[in-house]
Amino acid sequence: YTTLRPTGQPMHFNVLLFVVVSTVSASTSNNDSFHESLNIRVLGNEQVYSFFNFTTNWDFENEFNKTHYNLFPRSIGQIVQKYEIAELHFTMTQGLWRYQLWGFPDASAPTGAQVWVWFKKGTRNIDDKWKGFTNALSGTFCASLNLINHEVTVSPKVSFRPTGVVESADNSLLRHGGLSRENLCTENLTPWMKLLPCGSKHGPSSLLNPSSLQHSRYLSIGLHYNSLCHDVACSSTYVQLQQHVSVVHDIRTTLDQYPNFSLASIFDRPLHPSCPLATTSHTHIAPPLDVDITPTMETRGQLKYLDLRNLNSPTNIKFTWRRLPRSPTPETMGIGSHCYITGLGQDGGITCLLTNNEHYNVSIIFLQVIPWYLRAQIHTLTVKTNTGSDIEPTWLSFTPAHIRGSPHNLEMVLSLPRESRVTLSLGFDRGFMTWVTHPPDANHGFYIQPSMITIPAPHGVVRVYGEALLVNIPVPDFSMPYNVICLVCTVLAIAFGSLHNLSTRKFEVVPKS
Amino acid sequence: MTNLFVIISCGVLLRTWLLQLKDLTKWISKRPEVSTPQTSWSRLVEGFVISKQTGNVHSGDSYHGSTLLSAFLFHLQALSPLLVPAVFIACDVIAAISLHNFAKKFLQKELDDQNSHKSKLSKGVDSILLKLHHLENVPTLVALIYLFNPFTIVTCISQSSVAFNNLFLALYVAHLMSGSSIATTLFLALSTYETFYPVQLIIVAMLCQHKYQKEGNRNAAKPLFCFIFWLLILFLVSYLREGSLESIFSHYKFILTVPDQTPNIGIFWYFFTEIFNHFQTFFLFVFQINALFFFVPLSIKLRSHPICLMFILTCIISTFKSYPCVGDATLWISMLPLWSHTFKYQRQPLIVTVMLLTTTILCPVMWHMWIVAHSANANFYFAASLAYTTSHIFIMTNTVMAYLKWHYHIRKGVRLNLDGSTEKAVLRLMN
Repeated sequence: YTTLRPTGQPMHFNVLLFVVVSTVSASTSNNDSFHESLNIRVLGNEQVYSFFNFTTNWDFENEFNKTHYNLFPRSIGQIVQKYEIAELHFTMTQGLWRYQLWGFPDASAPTGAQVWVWFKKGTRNIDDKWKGFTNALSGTFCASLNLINHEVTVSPKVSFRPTGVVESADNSLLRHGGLSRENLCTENLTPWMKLLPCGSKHGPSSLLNPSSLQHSRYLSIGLHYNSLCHDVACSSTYVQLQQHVSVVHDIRTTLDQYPNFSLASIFDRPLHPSCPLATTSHTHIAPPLDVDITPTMETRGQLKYLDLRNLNSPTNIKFTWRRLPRSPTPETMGIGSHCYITGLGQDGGITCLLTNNEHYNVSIIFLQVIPWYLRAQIHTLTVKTNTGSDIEPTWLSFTPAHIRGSPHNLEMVLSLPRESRVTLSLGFDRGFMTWVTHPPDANHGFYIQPSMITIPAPHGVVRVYGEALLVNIPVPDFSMPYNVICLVCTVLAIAFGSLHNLSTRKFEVVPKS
Repeated sequence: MTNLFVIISCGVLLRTWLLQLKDLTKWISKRPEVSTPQTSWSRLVEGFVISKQTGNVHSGDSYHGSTLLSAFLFHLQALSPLLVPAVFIACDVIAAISLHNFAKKFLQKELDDQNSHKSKLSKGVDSILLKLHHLENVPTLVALIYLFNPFTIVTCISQSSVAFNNLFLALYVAHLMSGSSIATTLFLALSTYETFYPVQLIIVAMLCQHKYQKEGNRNAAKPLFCFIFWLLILFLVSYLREGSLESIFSHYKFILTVPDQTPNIGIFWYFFTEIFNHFQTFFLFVFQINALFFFVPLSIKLRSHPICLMFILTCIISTFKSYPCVGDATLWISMLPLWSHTFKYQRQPLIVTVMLLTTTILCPVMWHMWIVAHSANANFYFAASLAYTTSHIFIMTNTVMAYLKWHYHIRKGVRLNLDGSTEKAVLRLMN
């Protein structure tokens, strides 16, 4: 098999490299492994959720092997090394995950692009590194991540914890940025898929057909890099790169129709046998009770299981309903969030409805980043339950914004009473920007990054994202610069002329002619 | 005195009543003509909350006033929330009394001056002379105009911190002729510490020291040294409170570099919204020099009329400062009656007054159309604010020109053809 990916080197060098890499990969094959999986879940009876997970583990001996990459993508390895990154999380999402209808996703992500990074302890000039990193990532994924500048970057104190092992988890080493307006397109998918050892040729990734992915209700790609321990004592570590795709397809077109579907009908392709490089490759399906799946699959608990290494030829998995499904019943989510913009004129505000359906109090971390041009006023913050009583945040941190600088960053720990709906509102004034700082299509408005709720869970955390909010701010007249300069200077000239007259001339009587 | 008492009582009652109308006060305090980023009460409250969080009232870009004022109001509010509006009302009352006393003293001096030079005055100028009835009516009128000017009332009920600046300046002018250069410069230093631009008024204190003091106490350098002393004291106190110079000077940086382009009735905001980045620094200098430089030629020209100089400098500051609001204009508007005996020399007083009134009404209308109704754009508000500035320019130059013309006439006579010829003659400005 070949482990070569395009390097841009001359042909003869490629051949030479092939020999070298083959040898190296043979000798280090124990040190890295690739796992792929596909989980399919039917949501109610209207949508189907497919979650692709590709994990590359690399157990390097002493230090990151700077030259020889086998399964681990070189482009990510180089970025991680150059910018001294301990942990990297990147997601791009099109659409909004409906927590109330679909339950929790396997990987939560906000609308648009989100990047958060832990730098290694002792990294110097973190802000410069962060700028360089977002530019490098921008180039790698053909996305406008270079627009993540100091105006959208924050270092939250408690919302983010490292998912793996890091030397220091101080929030000065953390940078988080989001672009809610960023769309997920084919041009982002292609470089993302190129990072996979088998591209989109084998295994679950064979289903990742860009045109069918774009015909979905929700699509999210993610890339997560971190270091993990081998054992509890953490005597040695290895690095892990996880790549996710979450996609939700509509399966039901009309109510009186059986919502039968197959992988070929939603992805336009059958499922291919596993990637030859994969150590494990399998599919889990969580079907509703009255659905038949062909071909017959092994049952493991409530799930159907298929090992793709045992497949010999492309297979199409079909889902057939035995009887017409009833109208969908929404899943009751433990915690829900719904945010919207309030206010008229210059006054504005963000209101978030946080729902707790659990039978016990839940402690959550609420994070809201607001750009500087919306002047958030922390003294207007209110948190009320549906019974009208105020909730005092257990902990609150508010970093005010600077004009043309860092954004407002509100982070607080709240205890949501059981079976309650909590209304959180924060007022802001719409600010005014100079005409050159407005983006193209200024009247479209600006997106505020979605609010993020972090709920501590037994294994890591669960995140619930709100909506990306669109806010209009007053715009100047873009056709006016010369007129304004002329008019204001005229008034200045009137003042100067009058005062010049006053101070340099004196009265004299002259005959009237 | 009874009149003054009635005026003050009515002013206090009116303010107390208006402060009860929460919707009105809330609406008014959000007007960009009333509350600027530098003076807004809601920003000050935000600063209180932020200083509880971060320990520094200036962290972030919420509050841009001075350290000491925020500390004073913070402690005041901690004592009792009712004290704050009470202090704002007290500010207006004290300012009105100060202006009343100032007007009385100034007109008395002018009258004395006029009477002592009676022999030098031209014949037949009785009709334009300053009279005793001016002395009786004008001071009450000044207090009346100050307390019942809508600009002052909205400033008071919106709790815009410009009320304090007005109080300091009113106390400063009240002490100008009393002789105490220590008190004069203290209030000037407080005002300078607060808003920077009044620094140029020190020249008035120096000229007054020279003109109105007794023989032997006419050293014009004395107020200058006192002023510097008070400023240093104020900076020292705020340094001891804040622990760093950076946060003390951050609000001067905010005044001088004008980073906030929130609309107001001045000339800075739209210009710097629309200017090309390349020219920004250059025009920043042009605009700030415009606000700060005129005191040089004017103090040479008006060196024998320091109060007139004070009047026009106050006008210039309130018109050309980086974040002006209507509250800034109240001080000089209330001083207009001081020149009532020269009003007949005003040019187009009707047009200019109507211009000021119209733009005052148009500004909120245009704002509503632009920001709330979205049926107009920024240019509408800009036009109204530009006309407001222009009316200021006309009023201040007309008033001073009228005063100078009047001065010329009482010295040279009302009949213009001085050589006795029958030919008609006019007064012209000549080089």
